Amino acid sequence: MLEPILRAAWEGLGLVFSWPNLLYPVAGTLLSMVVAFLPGVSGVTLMALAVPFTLFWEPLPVILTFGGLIGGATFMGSVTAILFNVPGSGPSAATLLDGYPLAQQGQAKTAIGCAAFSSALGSTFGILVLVALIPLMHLAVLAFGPPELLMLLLWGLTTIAVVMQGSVVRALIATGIGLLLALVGQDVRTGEFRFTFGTLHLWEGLGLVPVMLGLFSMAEMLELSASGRRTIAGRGHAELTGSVREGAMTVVRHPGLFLRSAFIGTCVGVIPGVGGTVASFLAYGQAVATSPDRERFGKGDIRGVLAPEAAHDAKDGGALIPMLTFGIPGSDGTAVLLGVLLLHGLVPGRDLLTHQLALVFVLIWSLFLSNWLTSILGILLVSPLARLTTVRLERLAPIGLALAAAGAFVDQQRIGDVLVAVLFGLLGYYMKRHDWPRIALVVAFLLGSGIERNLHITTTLYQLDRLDLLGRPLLGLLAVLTLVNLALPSLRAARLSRARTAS
Amino acid sequence: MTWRVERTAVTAVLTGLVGGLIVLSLGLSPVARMAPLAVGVPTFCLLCLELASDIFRAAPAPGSGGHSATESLGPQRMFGWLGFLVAAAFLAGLAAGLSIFVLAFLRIRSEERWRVALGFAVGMWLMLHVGLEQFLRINLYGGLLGGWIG
Repeated sequence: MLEPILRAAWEGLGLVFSWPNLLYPVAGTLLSMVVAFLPGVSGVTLMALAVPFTLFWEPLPVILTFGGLIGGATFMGSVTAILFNVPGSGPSAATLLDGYPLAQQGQAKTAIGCAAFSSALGSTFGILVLVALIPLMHLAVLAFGPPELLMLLLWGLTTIAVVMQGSVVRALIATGIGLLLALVGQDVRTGEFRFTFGTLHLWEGLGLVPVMLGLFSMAEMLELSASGRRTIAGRGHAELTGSVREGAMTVVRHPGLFLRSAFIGTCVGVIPGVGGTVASFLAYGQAVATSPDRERFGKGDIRGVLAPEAAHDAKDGGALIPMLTFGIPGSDGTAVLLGVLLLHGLVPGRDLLTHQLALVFVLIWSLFLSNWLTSILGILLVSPLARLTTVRLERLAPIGLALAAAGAFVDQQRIGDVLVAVLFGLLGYYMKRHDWPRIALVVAFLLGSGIERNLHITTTLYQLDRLDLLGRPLLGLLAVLTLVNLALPSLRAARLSRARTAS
Repeated sequence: MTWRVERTAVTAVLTGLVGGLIVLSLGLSPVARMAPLAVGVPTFCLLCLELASDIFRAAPAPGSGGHSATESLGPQRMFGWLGFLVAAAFLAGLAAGLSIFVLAFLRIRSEERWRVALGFAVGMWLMLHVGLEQFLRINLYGGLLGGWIG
């Protein structure tokens, strides 16, 4: 059973690391690294834009290129999160919780070094698990039906609300508002328009990119301009402390945290429709929960960069599992990849995993190569990138605002999205000013449609008497974990109160 | 407006927003309103609690580390610049409008020299026009004035 897999792995390795095949993943990686630095143009956008250019290519160079495109964008999204408090993608939002405070303390090099090393090792972990699970893939995927998915998403949301610094009530409110905003647009089941106010622009709902760029990028520029600070780091380049080595060594110093985070990322990646955002926040949550000094998180703790980065990149390997097995994409990126495979006559499933296994390994190796290449280049570029935090804000603010406006438009090419980004910029500014957690709102907004879809299927199954709650132990486990999350703040408060009374 | 009043106003606006969405969802069919009500009602209740807490919470004592009541309320002028950005983008189109915004901001607010301001504005135009329009083949919005002139 193992022999054909090993043979295909070797054949795939040879195909990736031969000339001129090697050029494709390298070019894909470099392109996605550059483009990921533009706000609003995510790796998925680039992949979608690349589809028409590769339509008439042979399958091999297409797979090589798209493997590179998937791997390149993930890390660069985290770089913008660390340097400018602007997550390049949803999953990078967890990295900014501690990454940006580190940059503000002049430790951007340490944060980027840690992110680069943990993401490269995390992706390797995810790929190793993917290879090991190829014979058993279908079992893991079948364990998660709509009720389990719904409960997993709710667990992810409550985890995010609980691990946020500050008021849990405010985090829950922000989560609720994020979920409500996700419901704007046409209801796919009834065809009714919800909260569109008769505007054509809102028929398809609010775009994630303008919402994110407004809440983070524009709000950040407003806040920085109002703060009177001269630079993000608040000091000149000569005063930037920290080092790449120090950041990379963090991973070596915390092997348990790294392994737990990478494991979470891979497992979440396997589950279709959940994606890297939940993976990153669950990993961040467990890093906070398992640390004796949890009060340091959110203020610039390097472990808060390590955990989400490891999970985020480990997810890529996991997300390929349901896509290759059942044709169910585990993330946005794999959804585009699925379309590309189908366009080139490669149908996921048994045939792909037996007769064309070498091509599967081409994808896996090019993803592996891309992740390491991105991290190595990221480390090499760390000094010039960190220097961006010392650019004068009077110059950075208009560029940041203009790029955010352009990015808001680019995603769906609707000029109204520029206005949406500005409105969310104002909301984000006031939320930040009065300690409302913007991350909780964005993550809920991201997951809202998935939650509603799975809620609808679950209630329908229940009404049809097709839902055996007792026969679903995984659902029970996830429900208990969600309840524990909701009870945690009260338990913590009671413990604190007891400790105060005792002293 | 003091910082405390502003804090309460933010909570009140959010409460109004969620309340409004709940009222709107009552007009939908039972299937379409299930999720908005399931999320909206508990969120509205939590917001009412938070609003009450904001109204009745004592102002932070001076020197306690919280925001002082007389703290500067910040970037009203920046809001004006945001309005200018939107107007420039809608009127002159994205590539030209955003370049004009960068030029005006750097020259007027940041008091940069003409050479620096023009350099950044041209860089922005090149990035949008060459990077997005030419390289990525994205059709940027041409603007109302562009439409009239064209």
